Amino acid sequence: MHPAAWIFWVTCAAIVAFTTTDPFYLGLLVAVAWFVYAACHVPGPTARSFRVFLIAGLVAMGIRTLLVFLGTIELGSVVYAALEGMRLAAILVVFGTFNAVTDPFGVVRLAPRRFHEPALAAALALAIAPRTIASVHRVREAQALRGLSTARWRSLPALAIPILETGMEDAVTLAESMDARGHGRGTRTRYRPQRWSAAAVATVLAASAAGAAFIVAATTRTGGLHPSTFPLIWPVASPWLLAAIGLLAVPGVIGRGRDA
Amino acid sequence: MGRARSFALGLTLLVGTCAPVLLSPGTACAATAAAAPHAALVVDTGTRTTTYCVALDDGSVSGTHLIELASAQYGLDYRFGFAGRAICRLDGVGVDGDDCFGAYPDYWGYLHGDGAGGWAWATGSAADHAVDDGDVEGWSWGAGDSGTTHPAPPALSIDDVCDQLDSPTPSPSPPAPAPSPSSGGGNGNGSGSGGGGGGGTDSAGSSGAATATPSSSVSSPSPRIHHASGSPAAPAGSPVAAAPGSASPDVVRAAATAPPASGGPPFGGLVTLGAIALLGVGGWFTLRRRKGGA
Amino acid sequence: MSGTVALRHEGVTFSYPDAERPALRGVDLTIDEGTFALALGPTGAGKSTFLRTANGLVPHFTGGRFEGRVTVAGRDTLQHPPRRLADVVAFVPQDPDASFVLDRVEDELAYGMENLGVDPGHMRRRVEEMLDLLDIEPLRGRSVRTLSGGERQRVAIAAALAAGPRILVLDEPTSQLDPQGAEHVVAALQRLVHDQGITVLLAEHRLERVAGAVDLALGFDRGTVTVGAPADVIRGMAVGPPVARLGRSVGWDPIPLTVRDARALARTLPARAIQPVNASGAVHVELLGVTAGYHGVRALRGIDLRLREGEIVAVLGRNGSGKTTLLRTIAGIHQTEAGEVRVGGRAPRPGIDVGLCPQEPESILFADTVAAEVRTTLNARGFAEDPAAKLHALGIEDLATCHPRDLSAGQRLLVATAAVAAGRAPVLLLDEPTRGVDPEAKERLARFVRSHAADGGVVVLATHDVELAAAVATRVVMLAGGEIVADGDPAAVLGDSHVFAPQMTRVFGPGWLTPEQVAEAMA
Repeated sequence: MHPAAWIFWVTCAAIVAFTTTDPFYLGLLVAVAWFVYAACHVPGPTARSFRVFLIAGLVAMGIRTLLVFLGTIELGSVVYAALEGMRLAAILVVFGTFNAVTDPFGVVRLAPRRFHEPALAAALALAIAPRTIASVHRVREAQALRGLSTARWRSLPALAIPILETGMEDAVTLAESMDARGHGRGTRTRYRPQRWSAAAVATVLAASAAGAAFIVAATTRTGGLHPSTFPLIWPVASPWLLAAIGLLAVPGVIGRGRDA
Repeated sequence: MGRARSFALGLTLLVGTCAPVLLSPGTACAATAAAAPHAALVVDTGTRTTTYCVALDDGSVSGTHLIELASAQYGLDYRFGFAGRAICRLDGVGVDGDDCFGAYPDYWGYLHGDGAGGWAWATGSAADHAVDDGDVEGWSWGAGDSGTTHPAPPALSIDDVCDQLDSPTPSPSPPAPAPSPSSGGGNGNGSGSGGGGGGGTDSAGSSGAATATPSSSVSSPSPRIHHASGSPAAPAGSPVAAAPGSASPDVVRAAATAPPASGGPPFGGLVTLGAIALLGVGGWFTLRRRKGGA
Repeated sequence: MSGTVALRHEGVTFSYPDAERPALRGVDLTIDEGTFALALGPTGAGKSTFLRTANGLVPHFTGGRFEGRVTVAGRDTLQHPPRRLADVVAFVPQDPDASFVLDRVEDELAYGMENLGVDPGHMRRRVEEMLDLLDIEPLRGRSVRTLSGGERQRVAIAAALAAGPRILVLDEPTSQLDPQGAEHVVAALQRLVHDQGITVLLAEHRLERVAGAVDLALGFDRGTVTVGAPADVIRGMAVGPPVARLGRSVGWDPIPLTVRDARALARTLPARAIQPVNASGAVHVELLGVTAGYHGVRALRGIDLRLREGEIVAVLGRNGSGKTTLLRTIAGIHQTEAGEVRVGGRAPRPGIDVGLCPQEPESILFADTVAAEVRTTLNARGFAEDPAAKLHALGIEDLATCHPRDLSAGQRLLVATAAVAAGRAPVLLLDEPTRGVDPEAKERLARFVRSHAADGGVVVLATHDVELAAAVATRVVMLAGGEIVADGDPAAVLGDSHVFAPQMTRVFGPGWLTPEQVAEAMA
């Protein structure tokens, strides 16, 4: 599916996450993001990188919640912090899906010429990241097989250095290869111009509707986007907004949202 | 014999005067004997002012806790923001989210009563302010960033709000027997339309049942509606020290009510959980199908 | 072959930044168009550097001091950055997976052309041509991440050529491939040279795979190069395919480079008696009905295997036959679905009962010096000995103060092996130990493996390097489709195989495994 459609999708999903701390909405958003990942992810090591985004989200949520314990401890404060953390986690998961369903270089091509270099650096990072993440497991195992446990803090270099160095070498190899194949040489042409498939159009429309619904809800202060923690009462779950989040699942439902 | 008779007469007079008061909770006698602490909370939304005579559950509470007590005892709707330190909404007026200045330039201004009906602009936050027995706290919705520009609530003193001789105020102690009809009539409380809570002082015994609350057991709260004279419009930018009796909007004394039942999660929430489960299972199946086929 | 020069080096001397010695010294050579050229020599001798001068990566990408001139298809590489040479020379690195830019095979092929601004219609035609030329048409819509090693190499070559360069440079293209895969790649390269007139320059250690196919050899030795016919260059160097080593030691002239050449020169030797497997040591490793897999793939099915102390077992098989899974199961880090694994009578404890040197030695190297690397293992295992002994066992004591990452691939493998062996696990596993490894390092490894087994340990090598297996193994196990299809004396098993027979067997018949054996018999 056209990368621009995915960019639309991730932007609207992020908008939804930004405007609310309601756990029902955020929870549904995460479930939708996971579903879209399952249906549309590019096969290969990107799958593991999604897990990393998920874990990063949980860690962020945990840290945000634990910070409350530095001050006055009340149930309301803890819940408030947890909801903020949940919002962070939702944003990370949504980006995890985006990373897993797009080809980083397909996204880079869309960058205007002026931003081509930074976009390329980002794409390189995204392309190398899955391999680097996959190497965590490999390195940990390999070190265990010489009697080194990588579980303790002190043995972090044994885990981190091989991973980082391999990541660096991969990045250099990739950059070398791109350079040698004429990257950045001049005007480029497109082999297969990205066409706007029906799935892409449907995704853009559905995502826009979802984003718009939440923008409207936020600006008109219809309420329910931020559950009350003082006093602590059950958050609302408006069927309209729930349906709006459901629209973000469209790429996962329609034709898998990716080229066969 | 004479002395004994005088003594007996004096005692009888004393008992006779005090008896009705004694037998109704929180009366002056009871108050002089062992007064439960209470403070006044005045909430001025701009179109309506409601007063709450709040029984304190401690010698001194914070300004935010006072609001929580008022909510428990009278059903005052409130919402705090900024992790419980700022007031976003009172009595249905305010902002929905956590940013209490979301409707800026309007917001809830915080004032302290000076005891004589005047108001002083608060310099600290409600969460850090200690409210003692007899204090008057004021909240006023409007625009204006200082004591001279922000509208003040009508002039009210603790006695205006917590008129102890006529109407017993709710107290945290166990319910006392219903007041005798004679004393309940009291101070011209004719209207007694009982805003929502226990019936008037006429119906003895009914009040307790209608107003039981979890945090403070309110026994015969008698509603007292006091309509102040004056125009209903809220004068904006009125000076802090408003003279008593000046034109002010309706001042309503809150009738103690049970807080609304919190209930369980909303139906929409259960639907959401179902949808999440569905997506989770659907995603898992899709993953397996793709892995098998690829 | 009209005499046009594809690549010319004139007085090229190059040093990497911060290097003490130049990587290339006074290189003067000419490669004509349509030549199939091979760069050979020990690692660190300058082969990789030389390859990178051909497309400008040296010096534009690497920096350093550069003297002399390199002309590629008439263009001076100092005047043209690599991207400006992309239309005349293409480079395929050793591990193409790290160099793939896009996801689909088709898109990857078109990438170079897109950069050159080729019009879409022409691009589509070229992509089709490349798919046919490298025989990868069925893979066109596949994700590059899902390809096998051989497929990946061919896709990388196709992608490199799609842009139409006349010169193709490859860095060890067959190191990750099993014998069949390697054959396909070499055959494809030959077709390119013979049918299309492409100039191909490649660096390779596994000379038995390519020596017979090339026209020109470049022998590298500490930065200097000798150019000539493959037979001549190989005769003057210590390296070469087994037939060449045999030819050198028995004085054949010309030195044979292929099995066919050797047959012409060899006289028949009597069949060598095949010894039964030496079954004297105690059983140390037992696999009983082991079934194991991952992601729904069953990599091992009902494996029954008993390994004895003192054995050096080579596990051979195609890529994907289950070799790595077998090693991991013995090491105790892979869960079995069925069956039991016992090492020393109990479930194996990774790192304690079994040590495994990974396919990529870089996965475990993290210390500042080689000695520190070995010391880390000793400390972790609680042994108080001096690392020097361990380094000596692998012949790398002179590298004790070097930074592991500064070493060549072969030296890194030896360091990793030392680090793993320092754990004193009786069972030592080596996963593809000869990837990118030069013959000298291979020799040191072989010596170490023999001594470890002689001390009562068990060594298991998973490899497709048939020559190494022939040289060092006391027993060969062949895996296919997760099952053991052959198990026994190397001479018997390798002699019986078409794909995995070493060159000596192909020339002289079953029972003959190494040039040393044959030379001895011929003497």
